[in-house]
Amino acid sequence: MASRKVCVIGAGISGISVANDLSQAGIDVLLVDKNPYPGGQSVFYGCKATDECVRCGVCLVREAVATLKNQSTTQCHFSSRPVGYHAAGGSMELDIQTTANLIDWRSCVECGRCLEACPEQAIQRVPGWKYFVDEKCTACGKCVDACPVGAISLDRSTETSTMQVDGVVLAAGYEPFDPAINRKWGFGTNPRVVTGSQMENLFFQEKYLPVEAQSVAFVQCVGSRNVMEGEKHCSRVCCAYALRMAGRLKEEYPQLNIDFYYMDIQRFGKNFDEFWKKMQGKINLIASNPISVKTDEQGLPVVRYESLPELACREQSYDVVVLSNGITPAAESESLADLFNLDLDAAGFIRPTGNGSSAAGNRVFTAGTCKRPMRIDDCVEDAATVSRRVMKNLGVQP
Amino acid sequence: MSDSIVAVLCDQQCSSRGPLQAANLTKRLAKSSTVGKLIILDKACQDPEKKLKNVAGQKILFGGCPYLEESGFYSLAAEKLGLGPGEMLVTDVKSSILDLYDSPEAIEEKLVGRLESLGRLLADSTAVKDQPVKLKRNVLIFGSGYSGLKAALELSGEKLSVDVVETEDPPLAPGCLTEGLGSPGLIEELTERVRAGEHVAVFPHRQMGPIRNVEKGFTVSFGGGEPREYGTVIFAPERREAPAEEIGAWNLSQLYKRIQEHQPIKGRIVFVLDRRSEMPPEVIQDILTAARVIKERSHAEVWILLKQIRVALPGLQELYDLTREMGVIFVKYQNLRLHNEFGDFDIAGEDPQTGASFRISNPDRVIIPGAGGLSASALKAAETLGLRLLGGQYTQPYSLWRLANESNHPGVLVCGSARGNMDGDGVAADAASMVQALKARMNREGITPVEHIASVDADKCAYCLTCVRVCPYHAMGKNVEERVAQPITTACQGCGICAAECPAEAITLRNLSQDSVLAAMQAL
Repeated sequence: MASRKVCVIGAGISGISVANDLSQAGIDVLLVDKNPYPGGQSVFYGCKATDECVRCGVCLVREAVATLKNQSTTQCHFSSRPVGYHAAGGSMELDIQTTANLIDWRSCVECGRCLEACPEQAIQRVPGWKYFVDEKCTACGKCVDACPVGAISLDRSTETSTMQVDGVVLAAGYEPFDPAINRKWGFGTNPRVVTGSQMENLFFQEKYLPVEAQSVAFVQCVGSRNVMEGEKHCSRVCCAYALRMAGRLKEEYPQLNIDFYYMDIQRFGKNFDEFWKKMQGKINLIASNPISVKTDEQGLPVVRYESLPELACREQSYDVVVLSNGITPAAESESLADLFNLDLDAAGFIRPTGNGSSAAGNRVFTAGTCKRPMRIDDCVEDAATVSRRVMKNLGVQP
Repeated sequence: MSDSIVAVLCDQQCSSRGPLQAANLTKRLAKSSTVGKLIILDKACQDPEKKLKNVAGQKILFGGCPYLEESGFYSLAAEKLGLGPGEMLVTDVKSSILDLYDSPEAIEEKLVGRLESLGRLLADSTAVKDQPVKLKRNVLIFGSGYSGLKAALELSGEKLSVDVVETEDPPLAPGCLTEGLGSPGLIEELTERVRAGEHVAVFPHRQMGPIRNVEKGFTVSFGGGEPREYGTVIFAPERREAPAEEIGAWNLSQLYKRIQEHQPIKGRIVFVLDRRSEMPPEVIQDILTAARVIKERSHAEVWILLKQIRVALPGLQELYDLTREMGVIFVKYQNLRLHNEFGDFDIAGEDPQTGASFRISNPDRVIIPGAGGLSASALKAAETLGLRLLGGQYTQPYSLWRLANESNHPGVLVCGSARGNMDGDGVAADAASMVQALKARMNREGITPVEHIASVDADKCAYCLTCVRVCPYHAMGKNVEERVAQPITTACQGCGICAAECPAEAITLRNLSQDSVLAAMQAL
């Protein structure tokens, strides 16, 4: 049988898992991502295990990236995006626009000399993968001289290539909600107010807190379930990730006073109840409607909230306030949906396809958080499901 | 002899933040006499291949985190070093130890002991070069609910022989009403399709004998006939709902049954949710669907009393809004008092937001969800298959592998609502991903058998079940009828902990005499 070719758009945890599954079954995979590295959002998350694993799933991402690195059959196109799609009869054509990467990951030997040479610290390492250059780069060229294998060039030319594929998997991922769009959260003006995604990155660097603190507040449902901010859906992940973070912080700093403001705890998953009971003794759980986060004279953030049992407005100042921001559809969702002739749901997520229900037919599949909010382990399972559907569609045995 | 053993410890960016003190461990192992050379591979190690190059051709003891196995690290290492199956022994440092003991000292002690004894055994034993086993292509599906049927359909056409154990009168499990109402004959239709399958045999549940572990698989006899052999068991029982705790109240199953049979439900209907434990969103979705159907069909007055609003499913928020528009009354409560006099209810409580008290006296029907769980036969099967039960009787496959429905027993998979609440889409997706995992495993090179598998001497076994408690892999089951411990051979990793702990000295590792095990242990 002629080899089949599938294009996976998005190299987050879902995209990589699909690519790994498909290439294991002998299908040629094109992996396309807008970033110059694989792993997407979650590769820079930090492990939240305390004295036991709390199943945050971050290690699954590292593992998937490592598998991708050790595989030869997946063709990776980073810093790329699909710009054109033509389906006629049985054939599908994709136009992929690629910007040249500063570091060619294929020839990089991971010696780390560019890291030392860069005066701007613009070169970062992706866990389980190699290096990439972020936007701090000033194109000074020092890394080019330092690289022993000539893997770095300052060429940023863009080219578009056309590819024949037998199927497309959309795994475009999500965008964390940006609380800066509403001034009431005080985000962006006070460095002591951070989002959950920023906390994840701090956990990744094993720094845990942006500044030294005695008291930390977690404010839930920022950018979720809020009609005023236009995000009506529940993000499903925030209750669990914020609780895990709180647990990890408590482990790291036992003296830390942690308050946890929640509206309604969204319990799903079989372990949540046990975890919730365990956390009850460790942190203060406050049922409330958060109103705003202000800044007082000393520059400390003040959480203003409506305490639900007493129905009274209260204020409390903290050293650090963490806004548990939700999952919103990726900025590219709309353009991708246009390109592949798919529908968006009310919240802006791509409606799941792959069951023959959509106008785009059986050949365009969706995986991961581009269709609804998911946890990391949900994404891995969803990817397995999608790759199975792709294989069935192409008539390939797994 | 002793200097030919090289211990290699690996930590691949793994969350080994537990009490495992890597530094101390290293020190202890370096001092140990059985280990000739110690190599540490961790994330700081730039070039592991270079480090391992010098030890090629020697016997190696690997220890590391479970994920290393999945990422193919060990097989890669063995290939690079030119090692045969008997020359490399892998012990899983993290998962096996952390569960068992509390203090770091104890863990370290045990770990060092285990590594050393393994090293000794390795040095003494002759390499057993078995052929890798492939899983047998016979599959048993336990349960014929939505998940079991979906799994059977996914497997049909895969050139496998599939047997389905049919539960009698499958109820629509709490959590699948939305699916059932969308297409009323769903279960019947699926059952028909499964029965029509060419490679599928359906057995009624009452004919089924106990599942037994045999070497490289399981056997079950049906209706007292010849035992049938299986390489894989898919555990997909439906969750059952216990009766409502109050006399005269319905549980959800009773309500759903009436809705499906189009029986009239009238008057003032009160759902009392979150009384003992809080409902997951999948169940809430069904309850709201039921409320919607009741409102559509009759002029009933529907009250839903709950503690918290749960919306963590796509479209659930919209369903709340829709039912609210249709006139369903949602009340968040605290301090609920439920007075029941032979089915005449009087419910009073307070609204946590306003503090206002409410009272519903003499409603026509009160619906209180019962606790979810597995049937007795399913529980027994779960025990035989070495699945761990969590609170709420969800089964934990205890996966060392990547997907949540794979367990660390190569032949046991868990599918559907037995491992967590799922809606219809969730079950379908779960079945698909499970089949993928199974197929991928069947088509893999095969599983290299562990050379030393525990076996129990039935005459000596005192049925104290110490071995069941200490086994880090949940590989020790029990045979209740014969009152002996029974190892699950597919899951046994040959670690020897059970043999060391058994007070009756009834456990031996195959291919090894017990004396040599005990000698090795005592030498520490």
